[in-house]
Amino acid sequence: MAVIGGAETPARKAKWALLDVVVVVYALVPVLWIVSLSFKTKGTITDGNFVPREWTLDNYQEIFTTTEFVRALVNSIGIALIATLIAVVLGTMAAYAVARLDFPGKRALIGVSLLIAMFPQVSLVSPLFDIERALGLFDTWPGLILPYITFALPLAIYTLSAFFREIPWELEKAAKMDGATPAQAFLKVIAPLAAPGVFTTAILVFIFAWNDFLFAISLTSTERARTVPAALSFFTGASQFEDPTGTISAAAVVITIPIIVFVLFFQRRIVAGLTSGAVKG
Amino acid sequence: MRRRRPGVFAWLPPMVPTFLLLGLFFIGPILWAAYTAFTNAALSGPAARDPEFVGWENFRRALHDPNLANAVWLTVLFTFGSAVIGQNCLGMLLAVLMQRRNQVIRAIVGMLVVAAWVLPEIVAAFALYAFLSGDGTLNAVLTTLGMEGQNWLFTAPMLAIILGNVWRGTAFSMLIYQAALSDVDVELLEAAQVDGAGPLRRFWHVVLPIVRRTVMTNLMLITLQTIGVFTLIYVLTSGGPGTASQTLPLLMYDRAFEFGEIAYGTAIAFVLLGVGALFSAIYARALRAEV
Repeated sequence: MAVIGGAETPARKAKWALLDVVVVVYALVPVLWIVSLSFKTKGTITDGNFVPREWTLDNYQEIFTTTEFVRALVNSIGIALIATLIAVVLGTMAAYAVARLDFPGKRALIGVSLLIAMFPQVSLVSPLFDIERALGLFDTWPGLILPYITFALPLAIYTLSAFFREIPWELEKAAKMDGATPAQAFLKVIAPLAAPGVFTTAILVFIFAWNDFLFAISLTSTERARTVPAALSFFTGASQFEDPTGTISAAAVVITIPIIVFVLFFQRRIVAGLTSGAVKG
Repeated sequence: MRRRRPGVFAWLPPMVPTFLLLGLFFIGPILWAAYTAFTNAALSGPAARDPEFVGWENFRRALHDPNLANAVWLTVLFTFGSAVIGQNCLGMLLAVLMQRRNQVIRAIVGMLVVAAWVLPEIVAAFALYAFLSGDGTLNAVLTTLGMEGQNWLFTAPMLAIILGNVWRGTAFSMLIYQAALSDVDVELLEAAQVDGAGPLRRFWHVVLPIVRRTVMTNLMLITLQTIGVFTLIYVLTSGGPGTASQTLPLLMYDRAFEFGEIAYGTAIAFVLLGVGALFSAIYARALRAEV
């Protein structure tokens, strides 16, 4: 296991424990800080205390009573779910072809899809803005869903085809020989084997669409399609002069919850999926 | 045994939707950008209705734009400081240090690091803003220690965004390196230890040559990601104060959407695109060399 070995002494153990604490604090403090801010009252929000002196749920209550946030949350959920569903279906089709069929330009296709996945998306924002306005997609759900699918597909195809290559496809033939229909062979034998890969890809696509700020801020202009990350930057508080820090924090915590749930349950899958491109080299 | 190549009707249909989408929302914008950059398209005014072809005008202007030179320099500084130095070195350090920890601690630290990494970018940016701003955590800590606080986002904007991006992106490098390090043969290290090599020499002469390719790949990936960082900087400093932290994506956004000069913004996007394509090409080559 250990790359750099050595005996465990109490002093060494203490050093290691200190290191663990430093890493944990480093990763956690900025996040805990907004959780803390979200529970602070308006009077104590700027007091700099790490733990709120007075706990309150006002900030949460406030965001859930404004249409600004609730509408954005509906947009976020709808757009991310639809984009995920379509991207996974299209990605599965394409990845199946890539994994099972040998066609000209296949290797180049995989290479190009990795390039697109790594492409600086910000450089395409202003042409996308133009194109969407010309097509009437600007500030609509499809106007965000379609770019999300497009930019998620390359990574989805890449991840899925890696998974599909591992599937022992002879099993399908064996099932057919034993008298299963093609549909049965697929549903009973192949689908269960493919499911984990498809599921991992779905999580990744959802996280990508859910987290996006760049497209959400530049391809929407009203509450019609604005998702929570974009809506956050428009929060002003109840009156114009009120500091919106508390409500922004509460909204930030709310949209982080699904992500945290994913990480808690599917950490391994997320890591495997997201780093597959680089590790496999 | 060579399988017969399937006909075009076998492999093309499942690819069609993907090709269509990529054509419309990826290739399309690139071509559109190539065209727009040579016009005077704007968000408002007479040029908004009827953009004219202006040739190399936008690029000529870009060449003499001190803001662009500034943005290119800041982008290089940001990428080098936060990706090549920060995320890369810190990621490797953490990966090495985590290697000898027990499963429980690795799992906990791994989960935290991953969580910080898949956090919505806007949330991460806002968390860092709250951490570094005038009444932020950092100043609260400094005050307790008896030191003078300051608005870090104003006095040291580049440092703030670099540290922010290191915080946000280190997990990726760490995970990649953890996977690579687990492939290193322990016997090789033990042999080196018997021969009297200390930890640093073992890392430099044994571990590093083995994981070198992974390091190269990782460097390319994080470089590409960092060149395009927008949200973090937009929330933390908006490129300010003045233009003190205005990297290329920020300058592009500012020109295209704040000033409404879509054409000039697109020309800047093209500069960014060029930088991205350059790195992509190098990365693709590196990948091909590895196969």
